[in-house]
Amino acid sequence: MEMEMIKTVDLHKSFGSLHVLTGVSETIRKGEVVSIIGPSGGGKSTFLRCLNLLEKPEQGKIYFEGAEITGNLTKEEKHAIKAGTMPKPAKVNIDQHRQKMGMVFQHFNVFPHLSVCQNITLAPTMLKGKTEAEANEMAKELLSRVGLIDKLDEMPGKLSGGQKQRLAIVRALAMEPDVMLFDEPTSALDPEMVGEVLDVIKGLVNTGMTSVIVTHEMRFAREVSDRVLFMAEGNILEQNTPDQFFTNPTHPRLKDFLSKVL
Amino acid sequence: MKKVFAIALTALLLVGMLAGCSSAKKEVLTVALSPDFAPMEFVDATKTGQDKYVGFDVSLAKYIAEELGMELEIKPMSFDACQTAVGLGNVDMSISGFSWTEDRAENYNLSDYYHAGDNEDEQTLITLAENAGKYETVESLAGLKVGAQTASLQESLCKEQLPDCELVVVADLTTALMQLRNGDFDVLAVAKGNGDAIIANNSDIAPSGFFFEVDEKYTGNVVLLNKESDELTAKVNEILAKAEAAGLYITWYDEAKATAGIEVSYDDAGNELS
Amino acid sequence: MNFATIGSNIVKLLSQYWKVFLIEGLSNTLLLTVIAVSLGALLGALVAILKMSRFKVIRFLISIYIEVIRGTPILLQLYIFVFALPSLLPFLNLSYFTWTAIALCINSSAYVSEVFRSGIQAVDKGQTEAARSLGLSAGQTMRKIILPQAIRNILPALGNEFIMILKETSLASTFFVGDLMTSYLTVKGATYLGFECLIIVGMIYLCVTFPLSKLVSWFEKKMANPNYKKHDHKRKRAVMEGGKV
Repeated sequence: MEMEMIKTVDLHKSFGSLHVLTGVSETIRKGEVVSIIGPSGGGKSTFLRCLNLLEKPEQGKIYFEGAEITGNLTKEEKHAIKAGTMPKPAKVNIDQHRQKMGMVFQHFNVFPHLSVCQNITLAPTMLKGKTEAEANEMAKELLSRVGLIDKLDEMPGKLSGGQKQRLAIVRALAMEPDVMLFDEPTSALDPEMVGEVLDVIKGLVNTGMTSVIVTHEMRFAREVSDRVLFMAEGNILEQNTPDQFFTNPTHPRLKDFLSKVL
Repeated sequence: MKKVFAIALTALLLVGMLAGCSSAKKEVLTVALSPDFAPMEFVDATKTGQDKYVGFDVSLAKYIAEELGMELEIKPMSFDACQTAVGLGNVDMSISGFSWTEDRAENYNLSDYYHAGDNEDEQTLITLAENAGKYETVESLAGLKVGAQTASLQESLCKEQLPDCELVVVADLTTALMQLRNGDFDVLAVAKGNGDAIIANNSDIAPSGFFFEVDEKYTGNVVLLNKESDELTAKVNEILAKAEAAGLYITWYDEAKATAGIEVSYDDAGNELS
Repeated sequence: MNFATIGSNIVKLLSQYWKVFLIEGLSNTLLLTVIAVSLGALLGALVAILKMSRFKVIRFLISIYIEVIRGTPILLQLYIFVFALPSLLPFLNLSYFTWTAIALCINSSAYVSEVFRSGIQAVDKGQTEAARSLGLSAGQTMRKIILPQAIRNILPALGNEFIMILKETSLASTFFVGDLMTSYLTVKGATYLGFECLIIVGMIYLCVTFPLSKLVSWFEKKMANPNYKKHDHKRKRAVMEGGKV
């Protein structure tokens, strides 16, 4: 039995009157590569951003490596605490958990005021007690892996979009995370740069890194994923192995979606 | 951040307190005046601190403080602020060349008159040098524009005595001079003392030859006190009477003019005037 | 208007009163400005933080503070600080200079707080998200990621605020605090050469504000270029690595 990395139970999230997540329950196992596809506004990005609490779900629970991280309580739990039959849960330190969840954004969000090297070393030196020398060593190694070693001392302003995204990926990897969350990592890229970024992600998942990838790149999803989820209308409507998912879709919304994008 | 700010503000307050603490053995008499009005009250740039305030009204203020057995502190501020400060009770009185007006009498306690000298009593018109002496009579002024400082004695006089003139209200004498040169009005109403000082320094300005008939209630200046300080007003009136009886007004005025003369002291050729 | 006379009057005034204008007037104007902007910046930072507070009541009170200060004439604020507050706080025996300095600080804090707030909020939200996703706390994110970027928006605006306050200190001359405009009033009052005095103080203001605004725009350009730190960083690395070998 594979170990559960992330488990969500009945996640609800609203923006004003817009009910974006309508009770999502899903489990990502250790070592698994899961792609999420679906139409815009279907809740994919929100679901991903809930996993490290960049968005806080109003209701439902998220277990990361066994620990509940939302601090949300069910009605029964609230009653139990009131009655004194259950101890009040300790306050969640989300910063601790986030250190183990790398995230890559659509718009890269590299730090423009820091050099390429400093972008990578900032968090490990601040949060993991690495010395500057150790962090620099790691930065060099990571940058070599993604073909950016010659940019070590550049400012990010000088990099292309693809290079920025590769930097963003290794910045997250420098924290040695247990899981990587990719939020449409190639959507903001010029077409000729999509390949270089996908190659890096592919290389990464091949090392066994647990990954959740929100993407519009169908072929890529099919190629790298262990499992593909289809999200629309705020929930997961269908999921399957990549081959089954793309060749034998069952839900009419998925059929409709695939007919439009493939 | 909060801590730094608190320390900085405290430091500022402390510095201010030390600066504000004078040797307060005697009780302090605070007098507001606007030291931009030679020879009544102005600044002697060669001196510092309280000593730099000179002029007739300053001499008077010193005398009043002395007679009251108090230590004088001059609070310099704009003419408008002088009145506000007295009204709000921030100072004991203001001695700043105030003329008697009905509005002032209504809102403040005004002392008896004091007379800085003939020059301060006489009210006249000045004009451009090319029109010198042209406008000596009310008739010759008919239809002309006349400038006067807002809320001043001169403004009331123009309204009363020059009904056929168009009145242009101005903010201060500097602006008024510019406007006179620009032709915004033909003549400017001033106290003769100010007029003389202006003419001494500006060769393109001259007397018009016209003098207002000044009612007795306007001949002289008054000390401005708070509506509630009747006792102090009575004391000031006593002191004024004493000063007048001793003939001090003429002495102070001559001194003030002499000091101002040293300061003003240029004719248009750049020679020092005696 | 006789320009030759005006010219020679200016020369004479300067030769006799240069100390009043330059030593007393200019130094007091600069002192008031430095106090107002530096303490105003500290207070403004606090106000900006409170304005972004989680608590609605605090945000509401702070926005009233900002609106009242920005929506009323600074002359009124000066009157309140010089006349009204000392009556309410008679144990504080402060000079007019100090009270006007405090009034200018408060005034400046309202404007500066908006400079800070907009400078911080102009930093892309993605920067916060990226930093938080790495595990940085809110405070660490503010210090290491947001403020270093916001400072580029803030510093030039702060320079402009300095120039604004420099000119606004002239209103403090209502209380003859010895600033440049007080010099104008006193010299004009003694000589009745008002126009000439005004030209002199105008020139002095210009001599200060012009280089300052040039400096600000130079700074603006430099700050707009995100590569400005590059060389420094390279040098530091070289030293570091050299030291290791």
